[in-house]
Amino acid sequence: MIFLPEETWKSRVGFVAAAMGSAVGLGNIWLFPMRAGLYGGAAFLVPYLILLFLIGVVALTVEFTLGRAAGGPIEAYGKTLPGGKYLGIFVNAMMLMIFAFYSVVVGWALRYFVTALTGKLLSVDPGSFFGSISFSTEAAVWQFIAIAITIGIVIMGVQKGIERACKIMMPGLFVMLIILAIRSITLPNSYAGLEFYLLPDWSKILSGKTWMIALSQMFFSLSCMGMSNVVYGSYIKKDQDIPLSAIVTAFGDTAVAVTAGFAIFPAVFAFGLEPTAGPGLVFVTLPVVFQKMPGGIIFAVIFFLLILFAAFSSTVAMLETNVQAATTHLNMSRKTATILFGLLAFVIGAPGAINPTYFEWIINISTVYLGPLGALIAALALIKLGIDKAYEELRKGALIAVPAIWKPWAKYVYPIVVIIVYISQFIVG
Amino acid sequence: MGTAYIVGLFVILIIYGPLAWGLYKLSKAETGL
Repeated sequence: MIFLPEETWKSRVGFVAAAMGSAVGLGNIWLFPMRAGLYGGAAFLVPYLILLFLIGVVALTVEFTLGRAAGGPIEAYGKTLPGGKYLGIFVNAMMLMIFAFYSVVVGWALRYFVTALTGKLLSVDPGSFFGSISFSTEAAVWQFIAIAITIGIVIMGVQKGIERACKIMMPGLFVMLIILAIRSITLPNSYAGLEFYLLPDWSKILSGKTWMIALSQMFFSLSCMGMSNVVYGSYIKKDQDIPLSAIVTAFGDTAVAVTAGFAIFPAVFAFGLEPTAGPGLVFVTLPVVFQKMPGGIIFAVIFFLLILFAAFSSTVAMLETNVQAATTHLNMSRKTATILFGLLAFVIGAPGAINPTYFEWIINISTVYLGPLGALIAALALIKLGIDKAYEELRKGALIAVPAIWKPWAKYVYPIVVIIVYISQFIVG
Repeated sequence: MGTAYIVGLFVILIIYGPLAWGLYKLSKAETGL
């Protein structure tokens, strides 16, 4: 049975912009550079790039190919795995939970962007400001606005909404990131930041933990959880490329992460601040940098706008996953499904906007304990679909040759690596 | 020039090189349709 989607991407570049947008998120901005700095500097890129080629690109081809061959998660798993329809519903529920807590963080970023626009970000104490706006009723209001903007994009459809928005947001994000990186590197006393970020410590790449961290970082950065990538794959036309798009998506995602390190660390070191502040780097440390930097308000506006571009290009993929399921299986219109699931995400996430304990719980359940199982479900579904059939599907419209080793790699190596990634979550956090 | 600058340039080349090549190939295929 041939799967024919109701909606498709208009162009190859449009699909790549959307897939890259889905992958690029807040983790690219603060987590990758910090891990690179702590685990070997430029030497961290050696395991990262090896794994990106051997596992990351394969992971994307697996999920895109499964989607194009069999449809979104509920159809793809339903056709291939026993009880697969329920597994599809399960991954959709996980996606809704991820969207619910992610929208809380996007709400914080929106609040910061507006505060930067009005110029007030320069006169607040960043630590107290973050404390006052996060985990409050106000945070729930900003979360609602973040969801409303996401609804506004998704409701317009795959081509006119998601694809068009990502074709604007992704180039914009790169331009802004490069501007910030140049400003950061040219600050006085910024060189120590570059040294922290880049000078290779080769002893670190002999450590298994560094490889585990690189694997885990790469996997989640590419959003390989058998959810949105499968849905985006289902919108790829038969004459459109998958393998080259997977490579471009993987390298684009890495380019944002690597460039973020150039934008952040030289500036953080130039003003003598703590480089390993975790998520607080974005909401507390960097606002201090902007306060101390000449013309800082302009760079603050640029920075939080690029954070919003990274965030919204991800949230549209999250909401679209549920919308695809609802329009296909519940016979809903796109408009009804988008509003309904957007509101559901608000209802689930709003308590997390107010209560930090619930916020942490919903993150752990959806991204650490249950979400990664989606990648394993997708890997198994592809095997059950038939590896030869999947290989033929992957080669349709391909702009580059796909070596035959992809078949045993996707069938045997990849599922084992997914299990290792899942276990590593509990080891490396 | 400091070592970190040279390493930085190298890193930029190995990440942005394949990205630029891939985007060029995709765009070329698009306009050739």
